[in-house]
Amino acid sequence: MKKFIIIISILLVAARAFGVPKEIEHALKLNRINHFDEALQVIEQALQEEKIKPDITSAYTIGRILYRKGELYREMSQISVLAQVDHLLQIRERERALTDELKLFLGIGYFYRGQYLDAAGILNQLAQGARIDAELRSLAVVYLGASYYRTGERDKAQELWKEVGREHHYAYATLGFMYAYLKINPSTAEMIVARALETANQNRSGYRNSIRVYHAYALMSTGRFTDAYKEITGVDLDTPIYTYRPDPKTEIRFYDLAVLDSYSRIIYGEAIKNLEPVVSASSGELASFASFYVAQMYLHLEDYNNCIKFATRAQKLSVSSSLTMIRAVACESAVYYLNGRERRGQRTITKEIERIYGKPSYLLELMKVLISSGVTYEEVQDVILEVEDHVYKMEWDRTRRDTALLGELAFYSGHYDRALYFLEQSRDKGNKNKIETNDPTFLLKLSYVYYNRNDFSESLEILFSLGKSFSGVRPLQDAVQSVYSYKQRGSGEAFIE
Amino acid sequence: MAGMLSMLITACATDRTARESRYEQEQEAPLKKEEPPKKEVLLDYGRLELYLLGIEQVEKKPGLFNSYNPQFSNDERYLAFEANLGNYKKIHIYQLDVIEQEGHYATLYNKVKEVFLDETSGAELTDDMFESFSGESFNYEFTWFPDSSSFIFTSNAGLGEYNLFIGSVEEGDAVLKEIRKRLDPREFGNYFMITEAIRKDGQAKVSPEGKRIVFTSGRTGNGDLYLIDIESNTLERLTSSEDTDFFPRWSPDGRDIVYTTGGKQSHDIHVIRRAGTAAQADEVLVRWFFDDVLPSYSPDGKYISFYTTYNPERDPFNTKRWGIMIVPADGSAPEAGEDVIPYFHVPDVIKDNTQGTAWFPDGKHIIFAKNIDSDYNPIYIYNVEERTEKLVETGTDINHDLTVSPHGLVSFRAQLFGWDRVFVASSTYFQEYLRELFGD
Amino acid sequence: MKPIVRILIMLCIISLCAAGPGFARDDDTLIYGEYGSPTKLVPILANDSISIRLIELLYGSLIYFGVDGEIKGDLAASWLIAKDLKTVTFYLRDDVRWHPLPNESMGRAFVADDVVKTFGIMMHPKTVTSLQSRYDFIQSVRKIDDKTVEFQLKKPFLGVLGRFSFKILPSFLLEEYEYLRGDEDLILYEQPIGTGPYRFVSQKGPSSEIVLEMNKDYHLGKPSIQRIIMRPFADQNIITQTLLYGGIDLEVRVPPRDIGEIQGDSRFELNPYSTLSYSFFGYNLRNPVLAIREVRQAIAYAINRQEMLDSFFEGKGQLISGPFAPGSWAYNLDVANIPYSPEEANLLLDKAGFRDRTKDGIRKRGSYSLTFKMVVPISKESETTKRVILSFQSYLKEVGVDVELDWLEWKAWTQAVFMEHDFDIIYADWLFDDSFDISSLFHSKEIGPGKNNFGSYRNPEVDALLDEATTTLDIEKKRTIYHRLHEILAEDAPYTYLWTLTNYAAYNRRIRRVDIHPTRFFTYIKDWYIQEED
Repeated sequence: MKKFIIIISILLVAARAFGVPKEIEHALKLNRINHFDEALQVIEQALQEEKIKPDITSAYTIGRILYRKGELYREMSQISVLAQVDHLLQIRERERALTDELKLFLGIGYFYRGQYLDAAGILNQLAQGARIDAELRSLAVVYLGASYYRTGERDKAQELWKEVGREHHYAYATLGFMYAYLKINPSTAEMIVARALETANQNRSGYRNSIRVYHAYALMSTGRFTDAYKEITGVDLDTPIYTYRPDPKTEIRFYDLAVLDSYSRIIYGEAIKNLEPVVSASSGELASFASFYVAQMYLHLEDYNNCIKFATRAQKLSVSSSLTMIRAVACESAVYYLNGRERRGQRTITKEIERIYGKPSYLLELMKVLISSGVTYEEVQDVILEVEDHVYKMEWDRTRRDTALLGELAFYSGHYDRALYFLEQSRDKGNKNKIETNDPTFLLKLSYVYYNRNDFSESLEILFSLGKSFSGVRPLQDAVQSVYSYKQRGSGEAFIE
Repeated sequence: MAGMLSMLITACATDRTARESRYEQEQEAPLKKEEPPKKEVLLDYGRLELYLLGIEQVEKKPGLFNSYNPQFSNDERYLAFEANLGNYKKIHIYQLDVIEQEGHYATLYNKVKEVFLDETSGAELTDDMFESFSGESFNYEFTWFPDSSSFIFTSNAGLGEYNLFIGSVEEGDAVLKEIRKRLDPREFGNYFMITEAIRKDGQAKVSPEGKRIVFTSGRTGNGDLYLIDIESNTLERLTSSEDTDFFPRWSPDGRDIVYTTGGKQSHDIHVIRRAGTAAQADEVLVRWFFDDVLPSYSPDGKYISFYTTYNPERDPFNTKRWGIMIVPADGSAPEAGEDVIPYFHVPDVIKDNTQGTAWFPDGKHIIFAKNIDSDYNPIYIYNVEERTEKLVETGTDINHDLTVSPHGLVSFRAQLFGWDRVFVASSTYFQEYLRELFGD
Repeated sequence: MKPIVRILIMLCIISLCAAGPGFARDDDTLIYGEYGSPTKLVPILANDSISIRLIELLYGSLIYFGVDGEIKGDLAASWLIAKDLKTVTFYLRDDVRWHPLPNESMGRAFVADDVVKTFGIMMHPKTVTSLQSRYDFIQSVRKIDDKTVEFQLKKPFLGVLGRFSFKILPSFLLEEYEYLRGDEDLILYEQPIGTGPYRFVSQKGPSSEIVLEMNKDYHLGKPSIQRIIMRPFADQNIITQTLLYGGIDLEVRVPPRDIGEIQGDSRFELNPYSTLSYSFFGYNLRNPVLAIREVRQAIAYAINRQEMLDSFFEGKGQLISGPFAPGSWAYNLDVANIPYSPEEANLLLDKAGFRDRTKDGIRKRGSYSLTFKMVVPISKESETTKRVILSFQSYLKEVGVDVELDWLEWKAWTQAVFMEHDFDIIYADWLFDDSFDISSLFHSKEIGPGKNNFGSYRNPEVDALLDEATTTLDIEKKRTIYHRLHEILAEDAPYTYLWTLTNYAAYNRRIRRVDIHPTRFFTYIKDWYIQEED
């Protein structure tokens, strides 16, 4: 009898120890239906009330959820910039002559799309003699300088920036942001933006949201990840920085194109803060997963040294046949490509492809990490074509994620029809725009594919649903609506049913 | 030792809370619970006037779901129905208890089980828990085994194909044990999958003696009926027409199966005589211009009733109105032509998806909701012999899915503000039955 | 015989039955199910969606919209729009033949006379159709030669090309007819003859299935699917079950409740298609009580729209805050949805002065009480309509408003609403094209018998904005104006804006390359094909 009791009690205690705490389970449930903020709140509150301890489980959970949120915002920022610039180009096509305000924002758009010469060209016109707000003129100067900086004319940039004064606090904050963004001097950056933020707070200026994000970004660039994360709590990503009114009945809103990208980076920073300890503290599966995610986030943050460090760690910690191993190798390969070591990158990835040639799901995951790293299509074209060719021929029981990844691959290669086909297949058709059953990052991509194919109403419907749950979708919605309004062809029919 | 014991106790306590959180249990304790004794009761319905009394809502807690298809177990101890929560469907089972209250019997409802197949159940934190794209299961087409708390339902178990599963309310149910022994089905947690074809298998119905199961399968490409014999663990194909054969029902003596077949012109009613034997024969019951669907037997097996699109007044070519037709089960009525018309009884009836005609145990009355343009599906009781109907004031609207238990308990669903809820009403038949059962 | 041997034999037999050529289904036939039967398979006269879908397979038009929204030529090879935008000339293809008549082996050539005749019949005042108002911007049509047709417009029209999507009838079968009423003894009524990708084969009786066969000489390319069969059903769930068991391949419109069931089976594909439409409750502002804005606003607060959408439509749709669908470029995202708040409703009604109650609990003010007459068309998808209305009545009862119902046939309903204005509230849907032109709904000059501003809503600011939006060529201005209109119309609440719904089609995955047109459905049928199963 005694033995019996002992055995039973040990078993029961053991069962308890491996169980996930109720609050974490709740957070996981919320995460599974893609309510990221709610999930994080649940854990935060539980930690505050000491219902759970700050241990590996909670750290991993927080880190993973933040990672997903970061991925969403990274995707959002990329698409948002593209769509907003499309809108401005659309205006230019129709109007032929652009006003100065429109020129300014088009210039900024070029800058963020990487078209530095075009940006400089158009912003130069403003820097000299423009009939716009002084604040905006200062802003033009900041971006003009940034464009010069990017094209190598650093001295010219510094010369220009001397003109930007504290009195134009938004431009000043942007300048500070540039010091961090262009990796000139993080601590100066923080100082400048902090001053601008002070002014903004005092005047309760409409630029406050942007400046807060800039400040957080600057903090992060000095390594203060957690302070950065705290700074952006409750920030509104949907407010325009400028509403252009050429006449009382016309209104065009302009949004800060840098905010979403910065926001995603800050989220990554906090996620890394949570996951790094998991890597060192444990040695099981969680450590290997955490390693990979940290590696990938460093990759997105362009910190290649750390990326390699954690990717290597992930490879050491994981079993060679596991998904983590493969994805970590992809990170490594991406770093080589991005650092100009194309041959090494190709060797690394090709070796891995050969190893997993018979596993299409793994191949797709491998490709996903590579294509979302920032490597251009031209650089990896051969690899992509080979994998695509191979995967399309294979037959296997595709999961929804497999189908979604096929869609992403097709999209990256520019095969938009095919991309749409696959992305639509992996969608929860019955709840087609609900984020509870569709990954929001994937929905965002789908809405962009529809936008690309001029199916604007479908795109807007998806964004409408996303906009209800996530802040930051508004600039994208505005841009798509605008482009749609230019392209609509209807003739005014209305029927009642 | 005491320490061990207390640890054991706390561990057990937590264990139970974990288990309880799976099934929502309402904490009400029933009042004077009466255990129904196993006594055969025969009532003389001729001397009773039939009407409904005591209409009650079954689900007390509010919830954002719609309830459908109430099904009484044969012994009237349980009531099961489907709860539709967006994309996923679960089955809720309530236990019925009878108490005596001021000279008549009232029924109490207590939710005892939620039936669904859930994939996820890990205790450890794994990376998979963070990914989206989860698949919950769709569970419906519920039917009871006679004299047991075992049941069959159709589910896709989140896997993308529909199959038949069995389970039971009570642990250690003898019928379930027997089936598991004979068929050795695949296990899915507390439920067992008894069909495995890649196309839909559904609409299962258990024979009255509880040993055979008829169901519809898409495996042939167009819908055919199949029969499982539990004792011999065999699967037999019953129909092989080009048309879709579905909605099977057993005759009360367990010999025949009536079903709907749909083809190029319209749906017809067929009967498989002596199903599952060497002398099996497929017979046409009704085959005419109009659509005839969802047949069911009267409790004494004398009649087969079904819905038809025949309508004496409306445009026959574009009518989406259903009426009830009742023909003798022995096939003595004509199968086509104008001579079928006298068997038509009631026009403009609400046809539901799976319930079929609701007969009272006297084999003389049926209950249905009427499809009146300017009203919200009022309920009527109809006397088949006298061809008279009378309105039942239930105070409920948009009534559907009427069903009657073997001794006269009535259940249906109706819209309450935004959602459909299940209601149960007692009848004078049921009250009389209880009086006989518990002795006066 | 030993049980195990019996089982094995049974299994062998079953597997043979299942695997062999026992699939009764032809791999080159598409069978689809409709809820109901078509009324007439004749363009111009038919206006129900079932007929329209079949007509899309049988008949052609001058132009059509491609999947990407671009205008493409069907019967027209090319076209020319004059500089003054008042003349449109179509150059017809010369490889188009009408489907052959039953006793013929080859069909006749398609010529300009067909277009002229069709247009003449369509616009004749005695023809029973509502299309005349849609095309009355056209002054005249004339044949230049056998392959050239010229349309003269009354005034210049932007985007006019898209209008020429009406179906063309064969003139050689209509020589004696100037107009059509639908009761003529016309061969076309029994045997549709068109220029579409499919030919009519048979319909053995008015409620039996309709069989169509591929048109081998189709000028835009032979379709892949050999045969199409339309099967009419009298019950929607039976269509769903027949689909799941394999009896049919495609369900054109899945009722919301069956969507989850179909989605749970991986052999089927759900295809959502949204039309740019939304549902609403409309008010007659001629009633002095409904003319009070607080009363209309109160009604909006009193009802729980999200619950209605979730319960009756399984949540397959979006709530809207103004007179546009969320997929529209005109939707003002700053205007929030009105929340469900009976408290707010009560406050508003108090503010409007309806503080006293009748003995039934209905609010009143002097001799006016909050009792309204709602007219409902019977032919709408009846039960969901009933549920919405029942819900509406229940919610309003809670705040002291009574709604009485008047159920009318469709024709009588349009008469009451648009001609006599004998109603207080209606429940209906508006369907738009992508210009989202709401001017006919809310401009004060559109008040009057037969016009779309049935509620007699008047707001000079709205009138001015609508006028400016129509005339301006500045797109940014137009969009800003529409946003402002959304704001004002939300505030003024001439309607209670409800939701926009998603329609679903479901089909067996063996059908590939399925693109669906939101109103005509089968426009892209020639690219669909059936994959052979393994």
